[in-house]
Amino acid sequence: MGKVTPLSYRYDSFVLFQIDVRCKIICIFFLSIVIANAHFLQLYLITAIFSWLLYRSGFNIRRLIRELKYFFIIVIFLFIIRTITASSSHISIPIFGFINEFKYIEIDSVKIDLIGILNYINANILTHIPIDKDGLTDGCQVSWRFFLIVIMGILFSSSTTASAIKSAVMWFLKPFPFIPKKRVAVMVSLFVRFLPLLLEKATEVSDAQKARCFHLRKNPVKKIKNITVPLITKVFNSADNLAIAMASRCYNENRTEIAEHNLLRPSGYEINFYLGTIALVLITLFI
Amino acid sequence: MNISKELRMTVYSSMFAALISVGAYLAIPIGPVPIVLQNIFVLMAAILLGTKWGGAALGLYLFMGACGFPVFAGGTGGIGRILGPTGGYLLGYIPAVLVTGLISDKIGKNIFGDIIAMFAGSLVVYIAGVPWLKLATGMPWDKVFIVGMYPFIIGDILKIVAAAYCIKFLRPLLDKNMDKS
Repeated sequence: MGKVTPLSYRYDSFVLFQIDVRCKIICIFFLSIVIANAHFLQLYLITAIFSWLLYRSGFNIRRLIRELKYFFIIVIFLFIIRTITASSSHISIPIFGFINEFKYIEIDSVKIDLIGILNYINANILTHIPIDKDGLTDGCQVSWRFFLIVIMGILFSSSTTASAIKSAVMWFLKPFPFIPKKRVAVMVSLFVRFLPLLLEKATEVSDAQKARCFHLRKNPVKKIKNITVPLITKVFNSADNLAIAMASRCYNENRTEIAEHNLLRPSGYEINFYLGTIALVLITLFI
Repeated sequence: MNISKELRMTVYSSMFAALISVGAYLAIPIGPVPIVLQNIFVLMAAILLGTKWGGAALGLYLFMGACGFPVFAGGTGGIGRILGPTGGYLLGYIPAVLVTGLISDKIGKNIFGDIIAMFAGSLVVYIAGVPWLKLATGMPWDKVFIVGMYPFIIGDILKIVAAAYCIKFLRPLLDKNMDKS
């Protein structure tokens, strides 16, 4: 059975899964602007709301953290880089104060002067890296915003079906007669279908290459080729099979669509989401 | 089975839009800065699918990202990202696809033509991205180039050479599939 990623849709009776997808898209549009400009107050508020939504949506938080472990590494990396680039002066932080009691550590009966090593790091590396309060604040805010945007994407994609997204896209494109709505909508649903498939195929290719020790090769062009060619070949074949399946089912753009009102049905809770989003926009603008 | 070219290209361009998104997560460790495969797929879409369908793949990718899907570099999404400091690079992909596709059509389908077309496309991305980064951050020009261009040039050259090499293998596969249409 295919592995369910955090991006995959799953059913739940919670209100987030029941509200109109158009409402979700509008709220995400404004929330992404709010998050991009958010300071600590807004970040606390949005984090509290998203934590509640994650909890009520039935996410296994431990599994989510495990699935997103590489993402957390990126967040930490982003925090360090932003802190350093946004700092202009040095402050002394007693990072190593707590280990004064261990003078030496012993590994395989070799005594290592821990304090000496740390003093060396402090004198030769840390004192040359600018870290100040403004830098720490900026690093914290940027990495926090980044984290929230990813959580928002996970909440949206795990609570919305591809067919609902397709209907919403057609509805939003109605005022633009020059855009082929039905084709765009089909492409959106294919995109949503391809995304988990591609992640799965990419993992397969990567594992297969590692099993053949290709990751130890030095030539960067060959490294890229060894991942890209098998991945695109596999995916082209899957895409071709899909095109054959669509053609064999007499697919065309003028087929009967699932009634829009079945997929774009307001649940009555939309007003709460709109009001929450408006409140966050106002807080960001005026506080 | 006789499949219309339109249908096949619709599926292929959706696939390339998904590939561009997944490219943001595919990092190849080469030296201290890993190479991300996202822009390689943008340029490959322009060459393999042509200007029209490559542009459609990119338009779909940007649309999904603007809708909030976590498809932009580092797993982010939302309109805020397009309007943010790195938005110029994202929007720069649109003219880059057009330029790459047009040059590839003019010069011909060979490895040198592909390399020249992809160099031109990459240049267009920087022409759009670097001034946008300056406007958004207010940094001086020298710092903007240090942050937003110089560290990526070697990686881009490697990616273009690798992409041209990949296209050499993939073009016959695509042509064979298209002949079935």
